[in-house]
Amino acid sequence: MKIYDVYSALFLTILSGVTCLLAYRLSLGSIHNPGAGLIPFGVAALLGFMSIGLFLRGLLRSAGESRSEEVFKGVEWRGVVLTLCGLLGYGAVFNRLGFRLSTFFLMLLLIGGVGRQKWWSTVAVSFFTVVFAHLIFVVWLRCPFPIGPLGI
Amino acid sequence: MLESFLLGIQVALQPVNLFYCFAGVFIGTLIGVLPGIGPVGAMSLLLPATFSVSPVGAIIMMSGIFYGAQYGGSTTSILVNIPGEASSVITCLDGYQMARKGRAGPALGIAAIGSFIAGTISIVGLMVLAYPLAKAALSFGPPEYFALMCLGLVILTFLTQGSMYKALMMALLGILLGFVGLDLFTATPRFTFGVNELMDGIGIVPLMMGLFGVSEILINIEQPLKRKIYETKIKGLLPTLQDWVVCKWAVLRGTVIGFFLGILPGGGAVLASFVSYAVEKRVSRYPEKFGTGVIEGVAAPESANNAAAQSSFIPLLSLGIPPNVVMAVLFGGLLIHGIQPGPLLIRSHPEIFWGVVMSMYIGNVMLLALNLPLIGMWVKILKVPYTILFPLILLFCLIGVYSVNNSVLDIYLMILFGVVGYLMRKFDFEPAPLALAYVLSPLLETSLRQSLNISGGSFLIFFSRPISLACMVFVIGLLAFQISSYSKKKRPILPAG
Repeated sequence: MKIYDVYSALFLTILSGVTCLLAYRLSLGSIHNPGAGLIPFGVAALLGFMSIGLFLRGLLRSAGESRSEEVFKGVEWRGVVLTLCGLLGYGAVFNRLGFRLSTFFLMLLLIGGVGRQKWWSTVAVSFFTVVFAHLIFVVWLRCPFPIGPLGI
Repeated sequence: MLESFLLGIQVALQPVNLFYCFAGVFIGTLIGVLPGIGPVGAMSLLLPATFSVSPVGAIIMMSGIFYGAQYGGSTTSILVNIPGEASSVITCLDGYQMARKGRAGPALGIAAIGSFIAGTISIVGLMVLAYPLAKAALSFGPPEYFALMCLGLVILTFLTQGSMYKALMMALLGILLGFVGLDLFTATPRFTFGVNELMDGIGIVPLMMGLFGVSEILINIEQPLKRKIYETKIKGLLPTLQDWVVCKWAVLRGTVIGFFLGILPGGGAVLASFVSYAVEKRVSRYPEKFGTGVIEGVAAPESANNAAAQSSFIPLLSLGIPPNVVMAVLFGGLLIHGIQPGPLLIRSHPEIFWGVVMSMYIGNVMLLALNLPLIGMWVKILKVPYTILFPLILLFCLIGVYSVNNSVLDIYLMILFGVVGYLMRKFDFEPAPLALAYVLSPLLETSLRQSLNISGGSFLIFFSRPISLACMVFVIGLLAFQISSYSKKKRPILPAG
């Protein structure tokens, strides 16, 4: 049992508590005629009990351990954070910049920023990726993607 | 039977279906070869692309991806010592050692031929078993379905590599996620927080792509893969006569083990490959040599994972219950195409059932051709740097997710589940029980509520019918076994004397 189980159990306990509350506000009904909230309430309660069990077990057995540091030891956060920012940014600008421009910028970030490729290969691969994706998804599969400024 | 057989051949041999079959096995081999994206991610990714395709074409292609990935996964295991697929992990042990000894060719050859033999035998089993099983399943009521699904989930959590306790928690979380959307009985919105796009529930595509696609990439880029392809000339792909003599029983044993473990709810290709390797080592006259480049160590697991890949279609197509996560994606695909998998599928859509079965024969032949003469091409693909590959995989994930509903919310959901999946892997929580439970959640709830309605609120209904009773006894037995083995493990051992 590791110390990080305590954190995950705590999170799941809170989540199941909130779910129980929300399910309770829906109609619970009765056992022979269950309402919309009864089964979610039961499942969330069971998850809550198990989470408390995991929490207590983790708390009792992890005294002196600090395994949470080991889990993330050696992680290159730069790549992970940049990738997540790129994905979130893609979602944010997709409708405004359109499919082609947002895809081009995402590729620049992922290949150049995360992959640390040379600038010319980054630009070239990004460009050809956009062309390739356009041909497959827009021309062939006719996916209705948003169009950006100046019709790009 | 003969009529159905001919119908299947007719459907599978249509040029358009041949194309989808080829596309499926080609993509399957490709994703099997490439570490970083598995069949679940690839099938979820391609699900939106199949919307404009006929249901039978879509299912033929998606099935091809699954069993094609089992073939392709062995290539990376043998040449790079990195399993392209979870089901090829065990192949690394002897496959890579064979490559180091200059026997990469026979290792790849026996993997492909063993897979072909196993896959073909398994399809025969599928044809023989699915129909009577579907016929029997017509008498199943809600209690039987509920008990069967519980059994599948509990077996899956029992077989996970990590803690069963945590796996059960993930299954419960998956069931909760499946509740998002309109209540099936009263149409009351549940956990939608006023977001209209959540009325239909959380989409299967963003959930699967996040849990299995994005999270895998995040894990890979935090500690970049250092791929070193073993520099050896791949020659003599056909195993020698001596290889055949030692392998024939390994292939057959692997096929039988894989076939039965594939049918088992919660089982599948991964389990089958591990069990068949263990069995092979146990029955071998030289078990100490396993892990040093023994050809049976490649033949048995590769045959088993392919047999399991094909036989896992049996519970899906005949009972309507997906036995593992890959089948859960296929289940979602069938529902999106308006096809309800279950005992009535063979009767109401014979062209789908028999067409898919027959396409598997053709797909296996295509895979043999793709994996033996074209092995050089797959090796070249392996040399594409991951720094180029992962942005492309992510882009396909984004496009795939968006194109389901043309909704940016799905992109955000995929990112959210990607982060959740990443943290789950970090904290030793298995994503597979969550994904399977999420897919089964609506069926579980419906059958539970119907059962309670029938019984007037008594849970004894699950113990008063033979099939549900057997399943529930098995469920309780597995849970009790786990609890007892856990308490034994934790009991302090007193020093002797």
